[in-house]
Amino acid sequence: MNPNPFDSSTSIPQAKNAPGQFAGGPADAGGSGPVPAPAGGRLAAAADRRWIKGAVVGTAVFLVLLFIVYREVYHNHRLYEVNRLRAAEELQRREAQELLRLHVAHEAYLEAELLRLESQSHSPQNIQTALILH
Amino acid sequence: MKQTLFLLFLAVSGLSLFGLVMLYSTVLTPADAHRFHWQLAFFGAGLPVMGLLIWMDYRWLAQRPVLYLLAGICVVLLLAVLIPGVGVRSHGASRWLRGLGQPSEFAKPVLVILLAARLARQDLPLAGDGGRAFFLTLLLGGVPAFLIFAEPDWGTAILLGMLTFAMLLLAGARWPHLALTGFGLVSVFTLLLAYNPLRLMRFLIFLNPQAHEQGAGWQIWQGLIAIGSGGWRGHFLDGSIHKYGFVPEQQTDYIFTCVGEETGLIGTTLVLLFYLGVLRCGWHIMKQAGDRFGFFLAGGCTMVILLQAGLNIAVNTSLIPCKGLPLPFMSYGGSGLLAMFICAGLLGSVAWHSRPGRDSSRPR
Amino acid sequence: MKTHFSNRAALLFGLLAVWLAALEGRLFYLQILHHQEWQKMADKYQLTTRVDQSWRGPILDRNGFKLALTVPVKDVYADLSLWSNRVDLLSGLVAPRLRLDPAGLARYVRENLARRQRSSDDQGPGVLLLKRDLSPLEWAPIAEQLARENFGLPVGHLSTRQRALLNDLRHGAVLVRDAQCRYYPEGELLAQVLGFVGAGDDGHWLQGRWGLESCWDPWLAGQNGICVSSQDATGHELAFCRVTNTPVRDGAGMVLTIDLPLQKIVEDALARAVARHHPVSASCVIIRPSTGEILALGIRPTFSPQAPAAGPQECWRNLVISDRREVGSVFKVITLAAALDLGVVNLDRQIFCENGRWVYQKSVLHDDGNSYAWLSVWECLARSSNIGFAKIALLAGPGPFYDAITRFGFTRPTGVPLPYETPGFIRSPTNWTASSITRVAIGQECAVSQLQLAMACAAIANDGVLMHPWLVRELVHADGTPWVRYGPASVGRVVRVETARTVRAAMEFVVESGTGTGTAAALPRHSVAGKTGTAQISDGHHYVPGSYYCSFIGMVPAGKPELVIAVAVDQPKDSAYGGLVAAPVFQEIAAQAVVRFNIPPDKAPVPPRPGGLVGAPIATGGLVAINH
Repeated sequence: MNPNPFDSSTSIPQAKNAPGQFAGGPADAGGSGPVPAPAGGRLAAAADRRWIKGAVVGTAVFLVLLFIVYREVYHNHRLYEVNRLRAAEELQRREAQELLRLHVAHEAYLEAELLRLESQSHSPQNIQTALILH
Repeated sequence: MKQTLFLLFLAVSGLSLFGLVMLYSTVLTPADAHRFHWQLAFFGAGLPVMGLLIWMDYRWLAQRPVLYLLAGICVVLLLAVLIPGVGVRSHGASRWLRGLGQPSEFAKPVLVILLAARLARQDLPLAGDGGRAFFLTLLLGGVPAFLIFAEPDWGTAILLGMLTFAMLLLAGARWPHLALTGFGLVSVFTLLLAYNPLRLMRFLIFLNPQAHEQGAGWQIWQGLIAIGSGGWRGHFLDGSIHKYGFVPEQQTDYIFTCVGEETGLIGTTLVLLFYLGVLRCGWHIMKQAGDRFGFFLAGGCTMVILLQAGLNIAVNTSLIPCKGLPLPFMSYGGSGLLAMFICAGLLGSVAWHSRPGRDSSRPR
Repeated sequence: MKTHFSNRAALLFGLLAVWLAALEGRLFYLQILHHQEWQKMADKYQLTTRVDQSWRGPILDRNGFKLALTVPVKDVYADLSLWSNRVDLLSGLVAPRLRLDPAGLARYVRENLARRQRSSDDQGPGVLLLKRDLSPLEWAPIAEQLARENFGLPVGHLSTRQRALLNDLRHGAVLVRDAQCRYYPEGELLAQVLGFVGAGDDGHWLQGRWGLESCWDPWLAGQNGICVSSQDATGHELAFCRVTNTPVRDGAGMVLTIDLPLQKIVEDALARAVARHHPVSASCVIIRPSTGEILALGIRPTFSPQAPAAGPQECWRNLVISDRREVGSVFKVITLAAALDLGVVNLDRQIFCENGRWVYQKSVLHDDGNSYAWLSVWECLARSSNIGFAKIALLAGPGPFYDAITRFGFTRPTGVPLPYETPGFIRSPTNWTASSITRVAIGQECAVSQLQLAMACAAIANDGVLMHPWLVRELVHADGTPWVRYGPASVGRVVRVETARTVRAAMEFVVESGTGTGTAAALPRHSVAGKTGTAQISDGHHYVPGSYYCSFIGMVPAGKPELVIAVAVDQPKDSAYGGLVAAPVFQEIAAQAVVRFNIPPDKAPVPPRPGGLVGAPIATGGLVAINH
């Protein structure tokens, strides 16, 4: 059985403890700095402050980018919506046009009927009748 | 450790915000707008939840009463979903509870906690006896997996199975045990598939989605087209068209295809980098963990997030058959998002309460 | 000190990292290495090319009456992928509404399904045409009824998939496509001139196949619009992602010079003539001499442009412009005009007509059984003496005579905007035999079309200026704005003014003198100038006895003609003379035409005889002339 890495009572003495058992070497970057040097602590605090400033600026930039992106997408959605409306309008227009053309054709049919009846009245029998009556 | 925590926050928020943008992009009609608003709300709720968990000492969860409570609620909810009147049926599966979301999502962090607590017990003879401890742990993972499997939600069930397996591996289970169980599960799975040729055919669609584009392969085929047509920088600026309804369910399991089309290789790599960031944070936190429970908790949470992400992206790129898993932090789904924030919160909690010089109550 | 926990953790996390790297590799493969292919695949679904059909323009007469019109119709299709399991059910529902036989429809659909499945196309069975040219007004209620049908599904308990299927059946089982159909309101009127349309093979729905429809097709058909654009998953166009867009240009409307009421008059008269004489064919063309406008063009036998294949194809032929005939005596007008213009004769000159039989250069010439001795030129024309005109032509000489014929336009097509116009046939004088000039003078050994003859006479009516035949007045854009306006075009002066007037006077004598062959064409109140023609028909080797081509060309009123009417009757079964067959038809038509165009009378009215009937005495075979 291997020694339990987490049970400090069974582990190797404190002095040899690195912050984690898996490193086996010098402290890695996860730590907030080695044990000695309060001077190092001050340095670390300054590094922290710069780091936080950088993080804040980065986040701000990121949010600005995000806003720009949001506007783009919104514009795109508007285009899509307008497109839908336009398509519906177009459909209506086509249907109206079709009805109009049918109407024109029907009118032509009626017109032709009228002309036919008119010219029928000019048949020879009718003319002769008109003559006699005259 | 603070930097790790910040990196975790960055990765998680980055993924969520990216997901929100992609979701907004796919929300095309006013009828769908509520989805975006809900996701935004859940994001707004998720960050405080994560913060709350970080502030809370994770070791509190290791206590028995808490564990039993969590397990009980989980099982009850999972059973409730199976009852015809209570669970909402959609697309042939009943996964939802009205007003409570998907229990299978909450089962993920709960299972991680339970497994971590069990494996953290120092007297667990995993490597010892004839595998009884191993088997029992397996059962612990198997019960919720089975209940979820009955919904039927194969994807989450398989995810939980893989999670259990991975945690057992992490905890030191013996290789023969693992191999045997693995082999057994795979055989059962294969048998289930082979028994139903239709299911087998659907299983194999991922190999050649184009051939099935008229039927069940449509979704993955259109998803591949969306990803592939994205190129290196995507169609965000010149108008992506495949998002206009070509990939069904694009807001949930296939949000990655939207990323692929809109932002191209740059965007997809960014997503992978975010997950890599989560991985790195998890690794660090595991190494720095203050105790066994924290160790396994951190490992489990990381693995849940990463396994799910890996499986989802593999499905989206047609490397593995369709699973039905959402992309952590990015897919639309309130319960999923919250569950992932809970996992991230637990991870952060381990990080915060394990940082050197923090807690002097426990010997280090 | 590394424990094997750290090994295992490293193993797991290493695997995860490798997994992420593999995913990155896969993404690189998809998005960079194969980007072009995926983009092309995406275009296949996204890009759509839409062709907007142009609307075929109408054809109108000069008054605005519609002669040819495009009507919107629907072509009905069945989506075979939805029919494949429910042929009988759907046939039963659809067939009665479309007025088809359900059993026949079911059989038809099954046959096509089987055929398409055998051809194993992975695109699916596609659509099948069920019915053409359904009126949209008929379709609308059918669509509504189908949208409410249940198709045998239990409406109450439907799964999602069944609901989707029901929706598909309701709206997609029977599909329609917008189509065009050409409608000719006037039926068989002006059929040979208008022509007809057929299915287009150049991207247009309709394409002219005959007549004006064919020859003016590029203007009538317009230009299709092509729009290459993107679409979303439901097939709706994304107009803001258009690639190219060529707007559609609808066809232009065409206004003809034809006068529809006059056309009716012509067609009725021809119909009556056909009923009386049962000829092979009868035709008439009316020209306005001052402008060259074709006011009417009638031909019997005729066909219906709505269903051109219903009768024999011979009816399609526009005899007025496509047939060239030896026209016989009518051609004497041209001979006279040529001779007068050259100054070699005047109307009072006496010509010896050899008592009815003349041998010239070894060929014999007869005067149709008459034997005339000395006739003035007036009389030669009035009695239509062949020998007389042969001598007149000889006075003119072959060269000058042929030049005059050419000037009148007989050696070339008139240029009327219709297809298949014949140029006529007259040999050049270098190929004439010694006696050819005598034959050409009387209208034999030369073949001309009725239109050429009518235009030539119109030149005489127009004081010697030959006009181009003018058929199309203007083209109008689809929105009503005028596009092209055509006007009268003259070819040139063919004879002097005095010559034309003299010829007209001679022609008036033919009709009005009472002794001429054309008395049957006289009108009570208007002076008519004209010439009859009775031409023997040759079968290639010699003239067939008993078959004649009877014609009459007249102009009214004779002094300043406003109408030139050319009538031809081919091989009438009874009478043989143009004066008896064609002249009465002219009288019928002209009597109504002068009323139609309000041509003022220029003859004093004859006082009414006791007995009640008004009107001048007329020759036999005619009808009562009206005198309003």
